[in-house]
Amino acid sequence: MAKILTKPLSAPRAEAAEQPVAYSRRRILWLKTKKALTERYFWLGLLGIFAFFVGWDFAYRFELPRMEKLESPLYTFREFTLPPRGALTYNPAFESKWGYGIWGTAWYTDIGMSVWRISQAFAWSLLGIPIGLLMGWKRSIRDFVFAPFELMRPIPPISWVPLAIVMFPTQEAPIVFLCTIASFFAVTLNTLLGVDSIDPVYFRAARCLGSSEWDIFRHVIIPGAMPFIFTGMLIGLGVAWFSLVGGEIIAGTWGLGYRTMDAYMNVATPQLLIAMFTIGFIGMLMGVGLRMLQRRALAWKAKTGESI
Amino acid sequence: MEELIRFLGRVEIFKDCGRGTLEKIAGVCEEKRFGRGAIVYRTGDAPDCFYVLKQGAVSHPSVVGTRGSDDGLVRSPADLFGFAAVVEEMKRRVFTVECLEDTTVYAINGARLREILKMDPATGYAVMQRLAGLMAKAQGFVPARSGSLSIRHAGKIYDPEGIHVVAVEDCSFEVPAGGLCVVVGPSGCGKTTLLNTIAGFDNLTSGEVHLDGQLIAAPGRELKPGPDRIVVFQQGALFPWKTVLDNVTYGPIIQRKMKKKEAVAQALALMEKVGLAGIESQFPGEISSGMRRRVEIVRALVNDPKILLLDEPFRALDALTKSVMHEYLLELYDLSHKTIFFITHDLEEAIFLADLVVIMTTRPGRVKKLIAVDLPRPRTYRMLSSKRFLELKQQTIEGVHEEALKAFEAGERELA
Repeated sequence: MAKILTKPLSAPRAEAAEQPVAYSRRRILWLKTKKALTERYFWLGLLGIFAFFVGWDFAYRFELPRMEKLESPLYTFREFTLPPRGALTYNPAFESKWGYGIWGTAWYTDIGMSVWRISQAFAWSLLGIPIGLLMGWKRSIRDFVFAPFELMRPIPPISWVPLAIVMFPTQEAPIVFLCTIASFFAVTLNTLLGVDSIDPVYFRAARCLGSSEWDIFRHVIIPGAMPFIFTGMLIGLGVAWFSLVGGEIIAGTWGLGYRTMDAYMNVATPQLLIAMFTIGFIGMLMGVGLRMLQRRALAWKAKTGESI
Repeated sequence: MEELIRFLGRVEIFKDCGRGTLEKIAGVCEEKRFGRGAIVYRTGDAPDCFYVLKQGAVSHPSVVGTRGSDDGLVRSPADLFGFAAVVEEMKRRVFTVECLEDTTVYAINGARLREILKMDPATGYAVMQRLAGLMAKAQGFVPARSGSLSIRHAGKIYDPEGIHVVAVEDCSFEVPAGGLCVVVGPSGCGKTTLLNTIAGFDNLTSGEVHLDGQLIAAPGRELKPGPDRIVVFQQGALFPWKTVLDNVTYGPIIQRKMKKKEAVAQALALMEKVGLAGIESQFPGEISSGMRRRVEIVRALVNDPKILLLDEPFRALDALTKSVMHEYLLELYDLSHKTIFFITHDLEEAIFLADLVVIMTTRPGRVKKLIAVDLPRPRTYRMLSSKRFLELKQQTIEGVHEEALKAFEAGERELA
């Protein structure tokens, strides 16, 4: 075909892509920030957070039913940011009662332990990606694996606790196992769903172009399932946190989940609130990180303005 | 010299050329004499010269000159042969040309002629285009060219849960190598079933499909879709996760026909030629739908298939884009002369594109009528209002309308 084309065809030329003006990275970041500051969503978001804390404060101040058991946000914030007695001063106006906050080591140790456990569990659950892909690729593998999967999936992670403790007699392993169990199913099944969601026309096109089964796996199944794989990972991360707290409450001596239980035992409400907010914040950060990765990996979707 | 220039001026394809260009062409002309029975060139030779007949007669299956004759000979003065020399990158002669009597010809060096024509901005371009068209047309006469499709008594019965649905029944027709066959018919007449069979996605329940004498579908036969018959799908099937360039080079790389570098170079050159330069690093989602269609056709053609299967490829396009796409497809077709199997239910599109229009009946799909379209190629939009076009359209409409009515009534009955 190429051999007998002798002249450019008269079909209209593609408009050349507009050359973007080259900006340095720092400048781009600054421009983005400037733009965000003028956007409505930014200010509305800020207002939302502010309203949340004001609402909480009012509820506590006016002793709405059940809310009087909480601490005021201001007090919690003081607990979080002020040093414990004797660390800097003996002025009771400038000390934290429980010492659980940015000045003590406990807070950091808790974060470190929890994040380490989550990372381990998340890494293990990524095994679900190849399993899900294989299940989507080969009918026989799916038929073989799917039934036991469906049997295990509905079992709530919490009900694995006793078994986990029996199976893994160490401190750490049962908690990691619980988190893994939870996110593994989410990752695997979403990956499988992703393979199923690929339009059959791409398989046909790939076969037409001379692909082997392995080529199809590499060039159609993996990239085609990628959007769902990321969804699975996001869900998996969420449920991993879920069971982390459960696992730590039952079997831990450190960790943010353990801290909530510990604080409850000691009636240290500010400590409880700090641990809870920390979980929320770290979970959010991890989600944001994963989304950034997703945006990069799914450039073909992000660039076309599709929501991902 | 003066005589030669005047002679060249009489050659039809040069008739719009200016005096300057003719002089230059005359400068590279060389008069050659051949005795009776001498061979001017053989199939497979490297082409160097392009010939204008001065006197005598040679055997050449295509007669494309001022006054063509029907006996497969070049015998009128100023007739042309040996186009392979003019076409860039043609490595071999397509025909063997033998002199039937004592013959005098002007041999023009192909490469030099190309250069001369390129330097003539006013008319040279048009001459090149016509020469390439003539070459493509001449190639269509070669019996050994690949891509002849033969559908014999094809039948397909879908049998989900015991309900017999006869999609195609005893369907037979032939598409010659390099032919452009368009199948029209009401929805659900088994057009796509036929296409899927040829592509190797789906098998027949009776009958056979041959491509170049090779059995590609018959009951009980293992199906093998492959790069010798490539489908351009109705809804488009460019991989959205690959850039345009990766899409185009996918076939050659995956089949290990080319190294990545070569494939990229070829794809870029081809895309440049067909006016798709500059979009290679974009994703399919970022370009217009008309452009996506063109990229998809290019992706098919880089694999050098025997037959191109197009399943209503322009259906989703607006009328304007569609007309541009028709011209685009026809130009590619005139130049590549691949066999094309095209499905549509747009009658005008069918007649405008086709050599052969196959009208199918409503379910069960049978061949109702074959209409050979004898409009000359290259086709232009002016032909849409020509008398012959309208006659053909009338014939087609009569065939299709009846079927459409039947399909409609059948639908009503099903609903009732």
